[in-house]
Amino acid sequence: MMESTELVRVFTVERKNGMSILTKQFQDALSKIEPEKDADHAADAHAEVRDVLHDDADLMEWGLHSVLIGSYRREVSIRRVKDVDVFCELPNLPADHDPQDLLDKFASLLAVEYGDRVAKNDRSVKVDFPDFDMHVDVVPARCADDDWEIPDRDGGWEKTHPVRFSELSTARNQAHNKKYVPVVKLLRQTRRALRGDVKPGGFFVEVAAYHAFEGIPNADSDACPSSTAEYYTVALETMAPILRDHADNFARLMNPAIPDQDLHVRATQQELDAIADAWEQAAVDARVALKSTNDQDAAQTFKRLLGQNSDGDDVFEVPVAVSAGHRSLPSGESPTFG
Amino acid sequence: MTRTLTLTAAVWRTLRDAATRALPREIGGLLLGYFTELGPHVVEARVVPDPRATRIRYQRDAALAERILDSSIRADSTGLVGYLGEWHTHPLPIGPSTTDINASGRLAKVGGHDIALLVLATGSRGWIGHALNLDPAGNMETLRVHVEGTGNDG
Repeated sequence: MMESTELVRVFTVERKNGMSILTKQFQDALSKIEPEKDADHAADAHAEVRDVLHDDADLMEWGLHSVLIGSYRREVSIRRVKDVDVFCELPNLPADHDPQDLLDKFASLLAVEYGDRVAKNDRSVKVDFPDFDMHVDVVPARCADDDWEIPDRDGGWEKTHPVRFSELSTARNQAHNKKYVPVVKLLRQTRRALRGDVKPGGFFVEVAAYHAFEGIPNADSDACPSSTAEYYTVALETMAPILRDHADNFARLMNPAIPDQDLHVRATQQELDAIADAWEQAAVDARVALKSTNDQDAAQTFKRLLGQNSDGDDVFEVPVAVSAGHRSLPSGESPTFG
Repeated sequence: MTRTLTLTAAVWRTLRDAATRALPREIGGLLLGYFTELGPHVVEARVVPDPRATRIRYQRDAALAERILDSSIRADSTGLVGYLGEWHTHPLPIGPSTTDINASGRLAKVGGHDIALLVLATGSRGWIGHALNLDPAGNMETLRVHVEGTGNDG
């Protein structure tokens, strides 16, 4: 076997300020959670739905303008994208139009094209796209001053402004030297790794991350995190008390797009406690990994925190330990082969 | 688990082209690279010419090989590239010979470390790689030959 004791032990990873930053491994991790073809499917599905809706005279008279919203629009979606939201702005909708009647109209129009692939929900109309293994949630919205209103679960209207959250996210990303978007993807993947299909979902984590980034030194500051690994760790640490405060009902998460509006979170108290617990532990573990002098140990921690993607592949790969080849020939002889 | 001698695709092309150009004679040289948990990882294969090579004999010149190794180490910015072992060709469909094994075993013993031996032998589908690992204690181990990025073994 190899006489490794004679060799200089070298790892093909980088260290910065004494931290285990594993640059290539984080880059590869981001590639492994990219939506890839899901992004094309989302655009195709949106185009199809838009074409169907734009054939209706009423909707056109009400000024229909449909846009993709949600994590896909904010570029923080991770593989796999199972649902896409299409926001249908109707600036000229009569003020007295009943929201449930509006949903019925959308459902009827879409059913002509898609038949039983259409289902009316409380606040949207869902259209299945089985070929893409994806569904589209069509959300009608009326104008309300500077905001929009969508049907709520009680038969009324509820304020929202999903496009504004996209704009806010873009601004946050710029302020953090384009690190916000990739780190949010990693955080969403961490939620998936730690909590699976249990609520709260990725949007909850994204909103918590949005608020947490407010407190993280940005690109204008010398204290700005200097690597994806450090950003990820600092984000986990900054989010942990936010999730705890939300679980304890001490300070509820707010909707970034609508001032003074609580974020709607579909999760039980037990689930909120569980994700707060998981996040606190993840923050501690990530900090230990970041400070570790052993890149293999650090990578094992990040591997656990990022879990597997929808293909069942580990998102974060532990780098292979390597040792250098010999610096001289084994002997001064000229060996003969035959 | 069988350990692997991994070659980059560029290295495999270099070896194959050099082997073909030298026909009907043997040719050989040095395997350079680093070690991973899987086995030796070759990132550079250098030819050490032998003007007296025949169809059944190749001698790797020590002085010339030392200069070639030094130049590769100087040119490497990673600090990882170094000597891994020896390679040569067989213009016949025959893997490592007793002469090859004895010569490599001696290098391992004198050097006090493992030696990778790669023999490129002609076959019906072109050149085929056969690899062994020899250690200072006289043990011999067959290595799987893998060409990176192709999904194929050499």
